[in-house]
Amino acid sequence: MTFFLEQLIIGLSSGGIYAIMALALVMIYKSTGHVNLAQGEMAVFSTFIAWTLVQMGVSIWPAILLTVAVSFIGAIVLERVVIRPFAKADDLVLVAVFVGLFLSVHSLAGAIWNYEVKPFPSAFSDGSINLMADLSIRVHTLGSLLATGAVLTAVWFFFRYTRLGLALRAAADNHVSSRLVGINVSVMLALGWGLAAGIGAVAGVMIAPVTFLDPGMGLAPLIFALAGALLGGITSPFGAALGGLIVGVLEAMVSAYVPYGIEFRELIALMLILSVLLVRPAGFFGEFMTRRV
Amino acid sequence: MKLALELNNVTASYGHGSILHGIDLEVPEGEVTALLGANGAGKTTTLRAICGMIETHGEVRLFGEDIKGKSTEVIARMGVAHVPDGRGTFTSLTVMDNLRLGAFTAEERGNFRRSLDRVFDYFPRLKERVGQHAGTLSGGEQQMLAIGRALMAEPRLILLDEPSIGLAPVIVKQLFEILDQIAGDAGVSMLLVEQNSNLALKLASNAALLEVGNLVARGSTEELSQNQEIARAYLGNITSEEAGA
Amino acid sequence: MTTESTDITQALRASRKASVPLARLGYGTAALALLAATGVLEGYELFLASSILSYAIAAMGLNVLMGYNGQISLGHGAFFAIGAYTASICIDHFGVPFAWTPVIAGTVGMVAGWLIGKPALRLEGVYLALATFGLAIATPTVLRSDLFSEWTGGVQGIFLQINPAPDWTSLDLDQSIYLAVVGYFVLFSFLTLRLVRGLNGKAWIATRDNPIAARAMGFDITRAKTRAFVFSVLACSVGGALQAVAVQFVAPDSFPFFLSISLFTAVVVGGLCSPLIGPLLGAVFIVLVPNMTEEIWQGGSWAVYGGVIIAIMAIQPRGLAGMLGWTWNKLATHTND
Repeated sequence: MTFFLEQLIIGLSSGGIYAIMALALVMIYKSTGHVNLAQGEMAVFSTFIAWTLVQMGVSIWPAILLTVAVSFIGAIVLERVVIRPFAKADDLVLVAVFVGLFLSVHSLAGAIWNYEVKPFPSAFSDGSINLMADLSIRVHTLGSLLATGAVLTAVWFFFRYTRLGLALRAAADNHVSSRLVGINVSVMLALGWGLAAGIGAVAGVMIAPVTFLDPGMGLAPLIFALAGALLGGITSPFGAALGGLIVGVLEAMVSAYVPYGIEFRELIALMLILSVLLVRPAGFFGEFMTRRV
Repeated sequence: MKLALELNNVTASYGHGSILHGIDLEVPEGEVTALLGANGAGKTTTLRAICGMIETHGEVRLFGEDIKGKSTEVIARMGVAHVPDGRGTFTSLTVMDNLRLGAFTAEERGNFRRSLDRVFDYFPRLKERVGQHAGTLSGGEQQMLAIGRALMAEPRLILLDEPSIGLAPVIVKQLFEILDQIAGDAGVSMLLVEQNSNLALKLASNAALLEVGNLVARGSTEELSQNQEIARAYLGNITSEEAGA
Repeated sequence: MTTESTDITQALRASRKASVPLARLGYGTAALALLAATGVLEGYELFLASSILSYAIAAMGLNVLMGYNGQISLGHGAFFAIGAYTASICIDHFGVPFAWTPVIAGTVGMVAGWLIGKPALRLEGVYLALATFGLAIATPTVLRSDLFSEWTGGVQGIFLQINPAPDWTSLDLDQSIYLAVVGYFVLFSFLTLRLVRGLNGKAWIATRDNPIAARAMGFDITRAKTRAFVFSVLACSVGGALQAVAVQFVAPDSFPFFLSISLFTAVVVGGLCSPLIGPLLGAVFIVLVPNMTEEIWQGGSWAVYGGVIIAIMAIQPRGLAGMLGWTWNKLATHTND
């Protein structure tokens, strides 16, 4: 029973990370109709920036905040310069551009910081906490869970209760109508990317202490986040976050209880993706993005 | 007579060929102007040209100010509320959010409550459904929401694109009664694009007729409906009494 | 049929007849040149050529799927891997002569392709891209697994003992392998051209450009999509098998996520919708670029891929082949690509 609870908490912790990455994917998908395949690589790049700041002597929390800010701005530039020109291109060209972005960001990270695996400091103290009887959880695991929970709550609050959040939701729903009510959709799109990159950066600095930092770090989390986003509904922020949590827990349970489970985690994520896309592409909470015939 | 909107020799296109070929249009302030014409005549294109949504040449003046070349959102902030064809509601957002968005650029935030109450007075049905997602509303209710959203902006000029389309006659009748009220109450200027010319002429005080991108007639509704040939060709058989009402 | 249209048909037939000998001469010369290279190139160069042609075969297949049929796959590395491992297992466990392994690999690949394709083909556009993206990421982990290591050699992989052609041919190992690769390359070129220019090609283009109209005109869309998919899988499996033979080694790390991206890159950079030249140019690109950059800059090839992909999408979406398009058009008439 204790073991189960332990795995559950670990699952929720990684689930929280997948949830905020899934949220980032949904934000961009809802406002631009594109799936940002490079989301993971961008998060990794952000984490490297944080690493550099720490190496320079900045303590971890200020480093994280600074990184989030830099990521925000960087993403806006990226959206304007690389993605915007292709806004009206068809699917294949768009996928190619995102693949190109993926490769470029990945290699740039490798070029600047090389491919050696580096340790990354946790934003929380080392060691474990004893929750009850036999149940011990690492501080980082718990901290990560709380941090991602805070991010999710903050984002929810932002979208639900602020004027800018409303404008972003409007832009994500209907570009034309948004302009008709006076919203500058172009700015909203850039903002969406910026926000997505910001929360991706948080995800990165939560993962890195566990998996260690190298350019390839973002691949597996991306696929799990994608599975979560599709499961919950790629047009539903709430659904995507929930989906991310479920995927996290599923991953932990499979790794712990299923023979060879650890080796097949990605395969199971793939199976999940396929199943969702085949059975209910809109996910549990999403709605069909109607394709123009 | 002051003009809310003035178009001089306006040409507009979606890229390849022009849809509008140098039309002139006047929308007097505080009155309802109807823009009529058959399918494909360019009525929706005209509204889009006014809002800067497509490539436009010529002169477009909003309350005397030249707005040609300005972006759609800037024009919206200048007091133009465009209710597009297809309603254009934010389907994944609630009725309340839709209305809030309407007031997005309204001058004084303090008026929000008052505008909201006004909209609910015109459209009590919206008040009932305030927490519902706009996508779940019926066609008629979505049209009401779209118009309500326009009103929330406290606009100087309302552009209405085929509000009757796809709605049952009973609903349309109700809708136009409310539009008549709105036009009377607020003193707001309206440009109404409608295929249902009977209804449009009853509501409007003057009208313009488009044919394949050209302006073929304009004037007060009496003048227009008395022009028998045009009347028969485009408006069906409508008598001058019905038009004058 | 009116007399007018019969005249036009006859005229078309005549013009096609006139250009066919010219085209055939071109292809024949190319094939001979490839064969002749056996004597001219040596050792490592032959290995590079074998690699290029192997990847070209895979790219040909993927091009049919993406360029002609408009479906997006980011996961064909999985089928390349299946082909490679099938060939390796045949050689290592069963002593099959290497030249025959692509046939077996292709068959196994097609079965896998059919199994995966059945559900996958119900997806469109970006959704298919996402699903295949997942496939690409999952592939290396499955290959690495201890579950199959008895066959696959697990993480260490399998070293292949390949026997060259019989002594009387006086061909060394590299030459023997190269010749086999050329043989399959010529075969696949022929196959691809026939498929693309025939009714299949037209069905594929129709389903890509306007599926609703295509269906209304009587094209069986599902069958067209399945055919394109199966062919792409066949080509990738064969290509994978040949590459495994050329390298004489397979291991899970040979088939990372980036392999699928490389294949995708080869098709996109080479030129979608050019049946032969595009894949060939793309294969040259993905073999030579890592060759040249990896020494100076580890991971640099991905940067080049990324930059080139974006640049090509911006400037000339029809890729390198498209840039050369006008020269090709002058040499031989062919149906609109």
